Amino acid sequence: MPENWLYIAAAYGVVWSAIIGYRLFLGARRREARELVRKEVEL
Amino acid sequence: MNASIERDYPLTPRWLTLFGWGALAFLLLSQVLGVLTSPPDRDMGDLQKIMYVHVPSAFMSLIGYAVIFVFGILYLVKRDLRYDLLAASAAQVGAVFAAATLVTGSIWARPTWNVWWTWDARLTSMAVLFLMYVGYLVLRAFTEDEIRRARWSAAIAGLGFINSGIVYMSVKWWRTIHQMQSTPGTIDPAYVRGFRMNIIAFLFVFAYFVISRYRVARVVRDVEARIEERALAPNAENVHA
Amino acid sequence: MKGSKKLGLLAGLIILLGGFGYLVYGGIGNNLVYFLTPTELEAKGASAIGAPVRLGGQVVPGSVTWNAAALDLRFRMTDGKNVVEVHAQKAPPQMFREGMGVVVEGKMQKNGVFDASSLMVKHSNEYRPPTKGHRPEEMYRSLVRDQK
Repeated sequence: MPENWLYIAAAYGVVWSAIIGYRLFLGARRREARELVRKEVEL
Repeated sequence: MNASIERDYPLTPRWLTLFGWGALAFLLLSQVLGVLTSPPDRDMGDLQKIMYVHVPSAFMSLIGYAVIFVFGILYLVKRDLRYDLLAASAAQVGAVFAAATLVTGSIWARPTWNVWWTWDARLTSMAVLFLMYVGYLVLRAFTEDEIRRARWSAAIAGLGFINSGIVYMSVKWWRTIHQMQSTPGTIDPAYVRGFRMNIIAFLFVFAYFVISRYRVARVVRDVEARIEERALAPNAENVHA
Repeated sequence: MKGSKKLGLLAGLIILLGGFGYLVYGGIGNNLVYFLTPTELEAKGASAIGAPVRLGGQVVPGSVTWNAAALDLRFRMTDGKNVVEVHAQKAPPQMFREGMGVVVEGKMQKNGVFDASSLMVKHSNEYRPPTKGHRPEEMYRSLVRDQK
């Protein structure tokens, strides 16, 4: 059943996208936090 | 000042960065090993390999609400908002894994059960669990007062934790299309190692995400609290003017 | 920044309300007894005829006939006590085979044959590689090959 590999690839793709996606989200929140810290220093 | 904040409470201390890379490396190893070493199942063939992403994701979404619940209780007992931030961090990560569970489950169901979705007790209770994650996060976003937010969050955490138990037990309590939990006795040894490694790898990734998210949330909260405090307190310039 | 937060909130609310609405509308109470067994269907007698219902059981070995040209699938389903004859205008899914658990949606007809509008396969919690010399690909095909 070759089409089964499409389902397998899709499932792995979803989970890896979720993990990479959350890591990118985390990176954005970290940048925001650092920006906030910088702003506080300037105040 | 900037440097001292980063020194006192860094967003990414060295150990956390190392832990993150270690978790990623172990996850990659577990996934590759799981896929490459598992023989096709006699019923579903290669589709068995979806087990290594679906089941760990499901496990994380159940553990997620247990973590939220424990930190919710800790907040109520100790009245320390840091526990509330830890719970909120776990909720965000848990929501991601709950969504991944539903989507990978649907992808697995189509070729094996012959349907993308059906309202059996397992699928329905899992959908409710995902909605409880979303609800928890939406409620937090809507509540300005942090004490009230922490209390309500702890209350939802109780409901979500109960529901995570219902999700787990649903296949035993009710007739479902979803099979019962597999045990070491029902899984061939050929699949067990890959399965266990992936569960542990997902736990590492989960922990890395929650700790990282918490550190960001804590720094943001501390800085915002200080800024607010300074804005409220009459400072020297105002007095002179 | 503020706009994106608002958008996220709106998305969250829509998921929440839409989700709960669908759960209620989808008939959550209907599904605690997800399917009836052949024995339970039998016990309903004449009142079961024509009512949409889910029926679950095992495919009786040797009972499957599949006519690919007419898209006509017939098999018997059992819970160990009673047997129900099932008819579906569906191709058997890849995991459908003799002895497998299945759940069908449809109606019992007057002639005693269950007319299935959809066909689901229920997998057990066992995962085993096939025994030596037995390729799973062939198992998928065997069902199709046997029908002539």
